[in-house]
Amino acid sequence: MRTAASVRRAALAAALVALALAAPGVRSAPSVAAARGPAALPAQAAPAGRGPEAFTFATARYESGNWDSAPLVPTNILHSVAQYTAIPVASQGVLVDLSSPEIFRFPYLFLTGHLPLRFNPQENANLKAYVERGGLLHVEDHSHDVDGGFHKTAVAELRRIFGANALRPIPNTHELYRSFFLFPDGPPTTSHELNGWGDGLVHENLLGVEVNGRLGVLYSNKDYASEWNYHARNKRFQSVDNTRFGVNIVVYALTR
Amino acid sequence: MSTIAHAPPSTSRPLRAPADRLIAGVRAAWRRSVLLRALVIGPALFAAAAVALVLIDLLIPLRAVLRETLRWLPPLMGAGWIGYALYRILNPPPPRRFALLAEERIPALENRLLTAFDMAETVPDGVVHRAFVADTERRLQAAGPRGVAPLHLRTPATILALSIGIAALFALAFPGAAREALSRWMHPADAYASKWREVRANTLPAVPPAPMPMFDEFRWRVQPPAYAGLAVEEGRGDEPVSALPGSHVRLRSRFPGRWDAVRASAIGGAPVAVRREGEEWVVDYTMPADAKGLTLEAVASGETIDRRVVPLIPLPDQAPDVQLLAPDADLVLAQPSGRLTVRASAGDDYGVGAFWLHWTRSRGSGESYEFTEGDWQFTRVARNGRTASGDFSIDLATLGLQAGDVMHLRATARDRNDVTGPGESVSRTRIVRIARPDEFDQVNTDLGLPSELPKDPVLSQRMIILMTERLVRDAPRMQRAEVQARSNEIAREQGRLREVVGEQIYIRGADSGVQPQGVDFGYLESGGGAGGGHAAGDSHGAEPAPAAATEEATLEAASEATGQGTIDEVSHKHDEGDLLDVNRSLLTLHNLMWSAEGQLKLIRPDSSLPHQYEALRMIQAMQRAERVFPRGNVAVDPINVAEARGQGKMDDVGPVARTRGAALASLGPLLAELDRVAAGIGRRAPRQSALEVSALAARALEAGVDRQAAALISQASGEAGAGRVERARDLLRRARGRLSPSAGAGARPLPSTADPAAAEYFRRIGRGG
Repeated sequence: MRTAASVRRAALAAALVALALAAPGVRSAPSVAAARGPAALPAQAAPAGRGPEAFTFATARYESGNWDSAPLVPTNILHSVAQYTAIPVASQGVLVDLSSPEIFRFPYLFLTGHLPLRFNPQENANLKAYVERGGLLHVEDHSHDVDGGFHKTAVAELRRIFGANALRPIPNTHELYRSFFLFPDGPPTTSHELNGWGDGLVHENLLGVEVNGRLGVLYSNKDYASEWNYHARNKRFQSVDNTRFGVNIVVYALTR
Repeated sequence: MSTIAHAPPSTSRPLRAPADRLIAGVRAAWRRSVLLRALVIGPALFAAAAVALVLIDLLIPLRAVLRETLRWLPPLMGAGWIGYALYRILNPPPPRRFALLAEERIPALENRLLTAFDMAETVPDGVVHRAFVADTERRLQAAGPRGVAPLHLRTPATILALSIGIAALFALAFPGAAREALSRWMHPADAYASKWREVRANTLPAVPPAPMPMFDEFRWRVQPPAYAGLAVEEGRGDEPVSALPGSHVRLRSRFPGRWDAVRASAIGGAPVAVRREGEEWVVDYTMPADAKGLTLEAVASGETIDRRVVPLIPLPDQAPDVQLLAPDADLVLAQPSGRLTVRASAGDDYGVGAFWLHWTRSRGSGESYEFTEGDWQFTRVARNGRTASGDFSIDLATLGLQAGDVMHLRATARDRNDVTGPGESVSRTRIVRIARPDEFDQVNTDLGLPSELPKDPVLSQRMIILMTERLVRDAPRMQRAEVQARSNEIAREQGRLREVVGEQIYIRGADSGVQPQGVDFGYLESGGGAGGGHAAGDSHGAEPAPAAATEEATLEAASEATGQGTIDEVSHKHDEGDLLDVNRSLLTLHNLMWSAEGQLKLIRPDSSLPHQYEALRMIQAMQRAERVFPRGNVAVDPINVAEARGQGKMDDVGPVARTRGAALASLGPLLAELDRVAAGIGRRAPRQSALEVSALAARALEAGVDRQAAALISQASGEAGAGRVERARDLLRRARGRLSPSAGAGARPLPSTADPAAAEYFRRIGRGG
């Protein structure tokens, strides 16, 4: 006997799968990469046997700074997406060079670090094309400090690439906060914010760059990179799973 | 004959003067004749050729390119004839040729002139001779140049008069046509075909008037924005107009009398003003960055009678390309001193505007991270056309850097684009890091290496190697005493480092429960039992002894109580002592440093280096072995998707309706419309076909398709309006090929058509049999 909750979950999961497979951005991205010719991933190849539909968490590797500061986030978020949705997922994340056309294979790209962020010209061009072609770049300020090197330089770089006024606060009524779980108050706070670390601020909004009516860049000072950087098996010790917002981001990236 | 007989004997040259005089007269007459004939024949040729060309053009309209060439024919012929005459006048034939001419044209001379010419230098010395001279003198004096060079101007004068007469009659009878003909030949590229067609229809009975007033060929003029420094471009035709955003584009063409107005609008934008200048309409348009094209409509009696689409292609202005040339690698400095030269270059397609160096200094780590930044202007910037290069010398000592600080350097350039820009680019970032005291082994440059190092920090093995290498390099130029002093100084540093290693060995020994009392520290320093000081080992080893003794006593007591035997009895103790067992690598390292130090004390720095290199290799190997990566390269097991699937608590799931994103633009409807229009071109009136095709071109541009494809469709519109169906279809087929290169595969069935040309169109695009 199936409960109402399980029926609702199954229906929602099926709808998400259908939306993910039908999303034009998701389907168009691999075709761009294919047009440029096949190339092996420099760090890790996308898991074989999953097919192009399987969502793969891609972490951007850039030339400057420490791109590898949150190595546990990919698996944790993949685990959450598998837990809550029926979206096919790869069992592991991949690393992709931001200057490589490989980024066009992935509709969602995660980027974080503590140190000053400087994109080289190829990374600039790739990033702009990636966002314009429908990808979602998720940037996390791992030092959660608005006076920090990462925030200042990352914001400057994004403004240089997408325009001085492109990076704007995302209203807390944005679709991002209801794409799967409901976050009526906007982005969930992190323990780093509440403990007064970094800049000691609780950031009420995330920032974003909208391209053609959809979010192309999601920028966060809330330091979800630290918040989610733990092994997925330890999630069971939390009363409320703090990675649920990560599911929202992934679902948004796949369905818009 | 009597004159000859009675002429006095002459000792001079009697025939020269009369012969020369006659020949001079003949030459002058010839020159006058040549000049006068040229002045008549030249204009006659000019007029005749000009009239002939205009008449030919009237009968068979010549293309602008041909007229551009042929219009030089009349002046070339006229001026060529006159020029050749002047050349002949200035370079006349030799006198003998004139003598022959005179003999031919003056029969009374009876060859006397030629004979006199030949014997002009001789002196008569006989009676007969003198008689001949006297006769010749008489004949030459009697002869004149009259009639030697007749003008014969009747024919050229007649041709000239006829040509002028025909031209005058034409001008009187058809003054408008004459004006247009003059303009058409004076400015062939600026003439309008439709106007000439009207002239022909008015002057020649067999030429019918134009079936419909159509847009004539467009003229365009592009004035690029000032920052680009480009020249004004002009052109004509239906090709797309490419220009930088911000360019002033002027389109103009003829305004046929049967039109009421011309309307212009930007595709996807607002209407554009059209003004009238004489017989022309003119559109001035400032190119925006997202320009697609202009639509022009001719209106008569409130009805659109012709429509043309001019695709506009905004040319991209690329951001500068910036390269940081020096330093060519990230640097780790021992100390913040010395001068670092930064060199960068930048290039831009329209010239580099601003060019500067950006720096960021970061200090601290993690939560205590500080960050400051600023700009430096290059002290020397060399500009060469569209490139610039700059140098900046940084005095590191003045920057207030501390150990552990990191400087991020990158060059930034901005172009001069004041319309859509400025475009800004940056070079790759170079990092200059000041090593912490425990990071001196990472120093990779001798920049800022102090001449006198502070004594407090123990120098790393890499620093000691750098100092030894420098000593080896400088030794040949130094006094022996100075070499000895520096070698001893380095030996002292090596000794201090060796002592640190010795302390590590001792601490490890203590941590691992090895009794310090048993450690012969002198053995360590001697590199194998050569004896030596015990002070360091003894002093550090004194305190842990009671604890270790107590521990051992406890273990022995426990062993006795349990009857299991002592630790020594159950473990495999070999010949080696505890200390050696734990610290084998450190002992080897210690011995290497000892050897290096010994060689330095013997003033053999070069012999010391191999030991130092090996010591450094061991240090690096040990660092790698013990290095902990707190982040990055962390092995994370793959998740078990099947196990995790559906296990999450679904509280707060938002059951909101979600829609799929907007579909990507499809070319399907546009291609279908193109096929429909192409199939119907031959079956509809030219004007209707032209309007349909031009509307399709505007739609294609609005959809953002390839501009060249839209230009082909626009050209097809003109061809369709002129009734050239085949040409229009061919252009549409080419446009389709650009829009959809692989349209053949999986395309819809061939639309039914009875028109063979339409069937051919579909066959060629791969949709017919």
